[in-house]
Amino acid sequence: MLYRRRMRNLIRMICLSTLLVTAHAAAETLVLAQLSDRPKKDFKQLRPMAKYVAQHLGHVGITRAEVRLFSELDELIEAVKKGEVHWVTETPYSAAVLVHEADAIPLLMKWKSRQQRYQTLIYTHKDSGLRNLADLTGKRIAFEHNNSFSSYYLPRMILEKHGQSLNFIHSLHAARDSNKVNHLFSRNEKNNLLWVHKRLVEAGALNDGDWQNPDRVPDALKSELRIIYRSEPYPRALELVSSKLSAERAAALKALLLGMTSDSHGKLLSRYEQTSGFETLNEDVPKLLAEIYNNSRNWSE
Amino acid sequence: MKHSIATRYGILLAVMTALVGCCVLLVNIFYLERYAHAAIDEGQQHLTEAVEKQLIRDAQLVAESLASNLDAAVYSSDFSAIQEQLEALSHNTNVAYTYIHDASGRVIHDGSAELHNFGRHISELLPPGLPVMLDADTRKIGQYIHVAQPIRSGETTFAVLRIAITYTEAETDIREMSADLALQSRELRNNIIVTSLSIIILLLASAMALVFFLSQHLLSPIRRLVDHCRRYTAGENQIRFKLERADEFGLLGDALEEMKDSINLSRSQVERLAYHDALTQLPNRRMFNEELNKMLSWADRHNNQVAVLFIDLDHFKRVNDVAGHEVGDKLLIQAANRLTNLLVTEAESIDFPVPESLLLARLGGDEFVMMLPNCKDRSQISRIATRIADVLDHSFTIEDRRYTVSASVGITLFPEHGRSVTELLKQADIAMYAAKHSGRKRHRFFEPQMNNEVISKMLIQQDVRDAMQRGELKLAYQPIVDIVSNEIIGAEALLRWEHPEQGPIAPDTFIPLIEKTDQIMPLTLWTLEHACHDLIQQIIPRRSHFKLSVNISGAVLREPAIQDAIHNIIQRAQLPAHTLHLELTETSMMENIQSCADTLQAWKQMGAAIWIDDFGTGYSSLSYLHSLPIDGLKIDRSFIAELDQGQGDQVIETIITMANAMGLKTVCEGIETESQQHFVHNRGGDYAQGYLYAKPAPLKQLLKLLDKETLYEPL
Repeated sequence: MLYRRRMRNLIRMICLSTLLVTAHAAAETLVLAQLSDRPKKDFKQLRPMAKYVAQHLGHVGITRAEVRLFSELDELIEAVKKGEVHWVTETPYSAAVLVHEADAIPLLMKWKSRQQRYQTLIYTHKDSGLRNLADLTGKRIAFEHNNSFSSYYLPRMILEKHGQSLNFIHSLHAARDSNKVNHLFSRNEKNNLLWVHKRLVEAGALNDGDWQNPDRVPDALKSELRIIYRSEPYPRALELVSSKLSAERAAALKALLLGMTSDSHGKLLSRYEQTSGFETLNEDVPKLLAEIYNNSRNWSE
Repeated sequence: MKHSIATRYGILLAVMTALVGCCVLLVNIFYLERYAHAAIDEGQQHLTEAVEKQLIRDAQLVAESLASNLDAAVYSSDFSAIQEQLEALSHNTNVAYTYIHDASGRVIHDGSAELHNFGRHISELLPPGLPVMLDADTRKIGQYIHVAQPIRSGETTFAVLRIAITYTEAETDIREMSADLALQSRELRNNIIVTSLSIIILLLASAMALVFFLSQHLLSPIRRLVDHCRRYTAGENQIRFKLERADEFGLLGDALEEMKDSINLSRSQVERLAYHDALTQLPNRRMFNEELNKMLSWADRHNNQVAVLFIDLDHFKRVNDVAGHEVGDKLLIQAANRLTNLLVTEAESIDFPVPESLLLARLGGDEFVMMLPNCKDRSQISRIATRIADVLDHSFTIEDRRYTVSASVGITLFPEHGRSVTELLKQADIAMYAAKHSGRKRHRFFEPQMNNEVISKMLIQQDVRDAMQRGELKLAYQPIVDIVSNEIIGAEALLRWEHPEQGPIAPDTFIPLIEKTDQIMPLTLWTLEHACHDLIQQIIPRRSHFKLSVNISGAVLREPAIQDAIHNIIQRAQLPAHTLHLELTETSMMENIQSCADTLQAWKQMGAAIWIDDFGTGYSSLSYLHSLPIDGLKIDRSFIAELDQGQGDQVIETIITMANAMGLKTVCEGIETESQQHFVHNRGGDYAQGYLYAKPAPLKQLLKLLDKETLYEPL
């Protein structure tokens, strides 16, 4: 805990210093950002792509690139707003917030973790006898955290669409509302899975990518669990740019990214959060983002 | 030196050093091994305890630290956070288990990703004997340390962290460490052995160095003393043994110095004895020889002349005989003193850098010898020789009696006459001999022809004794006839010497020589004895009144023993009276008429007749004839020989007349012609002897003559 806090402070300091340096050369330095609770891992994942892009956008005056990681969405929003961050790669929920609160512009869909689209799965322990979403009334469901699209926004939206109202509880020890679906955050997918499996909670939500990954959901555990709901497929992740970035540079970035395929830039893409390629936006994406944003605005917590 | 003290002590020192070194080494190794074993065992035990304590502390610390970190995660069932915390421990092979259980003992987390033991009661998982409680607890069971650490929220324990840590690895480490220690101890031991051996070798080298030092420095006084002793033995008299040290070496040196002084004193006494004549205190022959030898070398190098004077006292023997050896010795001492004084005086006149070189020595008996270096000419030497003769010519007064001797001096010169000591001394002796023969109180320089004369004379003197023993001496008999009847009435026994190298030697040649020696006595007796033997054995049976004449040398008359000796021979032979005629020369009897008369009287009483030989050549005084018991005269052949020249007739006539008047018989010697025979016959001579009748011939011839002749009646 202490270590993590320290690391976070360190990152902040690094970021602040780079900010001071880059203030003069904003035109030249492209800043790529992301929300992160694992900065070391994420920095490693983003850094090569940023470097590559900087090397190939010289024609639009970009000679350098930086990676900035943010632990809080609000901070990221502020940075995008100010144009301190030019380029963000995020999941749909964060992207929706950025688009609507920081004037970020969606650029491309990113096939993150080798998934073009992904689903949310709501699951219970087989022994629980809970077989549909309606059974969850008065029960507890664990989401990962409040920035998660697949494990918070989407399942909550689904539950609400199915007529369930949700009650946030702080911890496993907190009292629950017997008429609502009581939700709490497990912080990560591991806890989410174990809580359900060890019957600390009655249900959990994970995306299909995690579910299929035996490292995250071992088969032994999976066999004792039951999926009671699968969502529609949603874009896996989005590349957004700040509205402060010039159109020319945004276009150049878009073109550059689109030009990358697994065949031509397999290694670089793979290091970039195991991306397998980029896809231009369709008209559904803005709608989806707007819907996500609007729904989330109604949630009190 | 193979067995020097230094070598011996060096070997001893080296052996002791090696022995002590080896003992120390062995003791060191023994205790080192013991210490190492004890240290390793004890160390291992202490280390095990220490490691155990440390492990317990570490385990407690880890548990405490973990528990304090885990409170939030446990409270919120943040399994992944818990797992992250436990993961580091779970992966450690020394950690047997990590469990977190709630207050009721249900397992919340077991460190695994899938939480296999979730919900199980902790007692099922823990080893038996480990109580399940919520308090902090640390226990060692078997190879494990079990730690229970409560996870609290405020004062309330809501979970317990349990970990077990094995110290197998630590034990392995300790064993390895002990093995390392043992290895190091072995290395240390080897190092000690190597170092100790090096030290021993160093000590040995030091011992050797010490021995070298000892032999070089400490023992050097001894070597010096040994060296001095050898040099002293080799003849370096002036060597000093004193070391001027206060220690034992110094005492040894002092003792040797005292010994040297004592030896030097003895040596000087011995030298004095060896090189000096005990009687006169003059240098002896040996010293003279050595000094002369040195002088000759020097003179040879410096072209110098050296004279050797051989001094012999004349008549000294007579002094000895008459007055006794004590008087003789005193005379010799006085003579030596006179010569020494002379030498001192003469030393000034001889210009020679070393005065001591004028050496006077006594060779023995009455022989002195003097060495005169740097002599310019013969006149100077002659003068000195004359002075020597002069100083010895004065009479010597001994015990209130006066004795007179004279000296003959023989002189030889280096390098003129000879180049060696022996040669020079011999030649000086010869020259002295020659001087003596030329009359007393003379000196002669050596001349080469003296050599032969004197040598042959000396040889004769030396050989006569051998000649008697070897039978080289023979008797020849010359008949004496009655001048009227021409009958053989007797014969004269004459000595003949058939020398093996020189042939027959005439009696005239050798008898005078022998008379000068002490051989004359035995020779006289030999002649008499043989003559008596022939007379009694061969002649008397043929002619009972045969008269055999035997010459008695005047020289033997001086010998007191002669009277008895001849007396004994006559007695032994048991000769008939008047058959033995003893012939003596006039001169020999005149020297001491009284004692001579007594002797002759004694012989006469034994029945021998006394005749005077060679009568007329001596004193020519007839007066003494009355005082001697004489039976007849033999008229010297020289008067007979003169008859043919018309001389001597007066003398012969006078002698015969006088003899007849005195009742003495006469024999005329050397009758060779009938005219001589007639003369003697006419003048009234009794008997004749000579070549006219017969030459001297061996006994056989005489016997033949006697056998042929008709027997005559005795005279």
